[in-house]
Amino acid sequence: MWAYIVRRILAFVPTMFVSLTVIFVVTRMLPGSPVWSLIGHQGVSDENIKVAEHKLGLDRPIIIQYLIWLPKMLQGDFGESVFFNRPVNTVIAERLPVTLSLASLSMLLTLVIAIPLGILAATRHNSVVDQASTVMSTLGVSIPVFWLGFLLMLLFAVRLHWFPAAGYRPISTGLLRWLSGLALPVFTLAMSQVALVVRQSRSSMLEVLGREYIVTARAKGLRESRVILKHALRNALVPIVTVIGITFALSLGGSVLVENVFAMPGIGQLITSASLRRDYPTIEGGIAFLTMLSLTANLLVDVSYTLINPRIRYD
Amino acid sequence: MTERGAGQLPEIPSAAQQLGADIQRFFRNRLFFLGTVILVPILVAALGAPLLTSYDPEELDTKNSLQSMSLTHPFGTDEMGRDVLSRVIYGARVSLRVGFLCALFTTGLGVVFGVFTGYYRVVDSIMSRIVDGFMAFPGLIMAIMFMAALGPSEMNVVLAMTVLYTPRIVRVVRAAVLELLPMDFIDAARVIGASDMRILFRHIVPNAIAPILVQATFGFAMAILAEAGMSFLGLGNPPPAPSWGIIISAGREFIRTAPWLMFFPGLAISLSVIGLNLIGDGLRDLMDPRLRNLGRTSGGI
Repeated sequence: MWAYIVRRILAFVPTMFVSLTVIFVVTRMLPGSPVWSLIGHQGVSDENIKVAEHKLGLDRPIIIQYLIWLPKMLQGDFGESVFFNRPVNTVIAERLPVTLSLASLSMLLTLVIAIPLGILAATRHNSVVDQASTVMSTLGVSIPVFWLGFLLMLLFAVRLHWFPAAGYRPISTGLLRWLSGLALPVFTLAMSQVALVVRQSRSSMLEVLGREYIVTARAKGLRESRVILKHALRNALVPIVTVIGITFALSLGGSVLVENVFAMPGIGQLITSASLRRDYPTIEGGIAFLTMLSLTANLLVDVSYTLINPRIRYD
Repeated sequence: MTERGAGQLPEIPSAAQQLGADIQRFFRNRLFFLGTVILVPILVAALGAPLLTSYDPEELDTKNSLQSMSLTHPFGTDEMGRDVLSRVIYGARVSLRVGFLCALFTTGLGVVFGVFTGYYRVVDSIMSRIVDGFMAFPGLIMAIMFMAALGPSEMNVVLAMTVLYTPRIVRVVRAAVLELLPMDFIDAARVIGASDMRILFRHIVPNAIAPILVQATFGFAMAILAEAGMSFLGLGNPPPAPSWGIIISAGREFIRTAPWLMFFPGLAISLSVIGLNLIGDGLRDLMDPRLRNLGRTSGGI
């Protein structure tokens, strides 16, 4: 098992390498020099542009730039933000609590809603609950998350005044304040994730429930709750956990939109505003950070297979 | 029913009859039918936009700004006095154009890359790493990175979404090729001397058309969501284009006073994407029930 885990961690390296290379190729080799964002467009002499390019190392051959850039990125040194004039790391660290609160709470809410609902839909196949879960998952993947955010804001903040309409309050201002500020964004993001997880937990439960060992478990007189939770769910869990990993990665993309809708100063909003300002080190650093986060989540998913299913062959 | 004697062949339906039967079979599928019912009006609105509305979607009329819903302006007017109904109708053109082009390009590229990836070991070992690398990115984040580098324009959205979605099609096609390769008819084709290209494009691709078409439909839907999302963020279509994402983004300031500004374009996005997803689900059930697990992964946009 340990050999498998080590191999998974080693496989993480080439994937990270490819992802970083994609980031470099896209941000550096496409038209539009980063210098323009630094010094503006008008009234700058060619000489000053040369000086700025030299300072940023942009006058060197692209392959040399890459060889300098890559090890730095791998060490987590994302350089200095052109806009904030501070290390990108610091800027990301300041915004990390916002994005982590949003992503982790919405994941938690997703699991609490989606897994029981998926099990219920599978055990009552073709019932009202089942049909409702199917309709819900179609709506969840189809309704744009930012529009859903505005609808919820309109209803629960503007009309009913139950929750604040926008902004983020750190947990240091009090647990309840923190939670009430996060309620609408978390719920918005969770709705799109629930759709994916319900769908998978329903279909893999349905598949497992048709197996002979379930018939056996029932025939020997086990309580239904034990049959479902111990015999069926345990065996249906691997594909469900896989989808949870994918869902987490997607939610990082969704969080960009949700942070924007609810004016939350998170990493997603940082990347968007940096894109509008063409602040390249921040764009690269922010995207590399979120990519690493999503790769780590998928690594955890892979490792969790060993806990869920001891039969998995690790070669 | 006529009695059939021994050795008598069953009647072969004419091409027209066969087509009729196929169409009937498609529309008897609830999902496909419902999806078509939702999508066709949107398609008609997009094609017949100038006939449906007399207002220019980009014409300013500041005297009549932020009007509520009325007979002259069923969806109201925006902060520049533009008719929201006509902006939403013309917005269908933008969304469907982006979605269609993405579906077309990703399918074309995905089939070519996927077929070679599935067929040649060497290509597989390289391509699969690249595909994994691309899939590691949180989808929308990568799209944002592309738009930041390329600059906001409709064509760049299509480009970014094509790069983003092609790896998914590559995976689906690769899986289909690997499934078909050991089959007898492929061996038979090889025995009679068919070239690799002939085997790939005459024998394998036509047999893999079902999962490709299903995935292309989901890609169409995802592209619509992504275009709206990026235009909403200011990275997609530049204003004053009547993109649904832009209309919502412009309406956010007036959420308290003029909520209809963001309501109708969002409804239009939702309906188009629901329609496409239902058609995709229906196609999947109709063409190959084994594909039930072929997932939609547009969540989060």
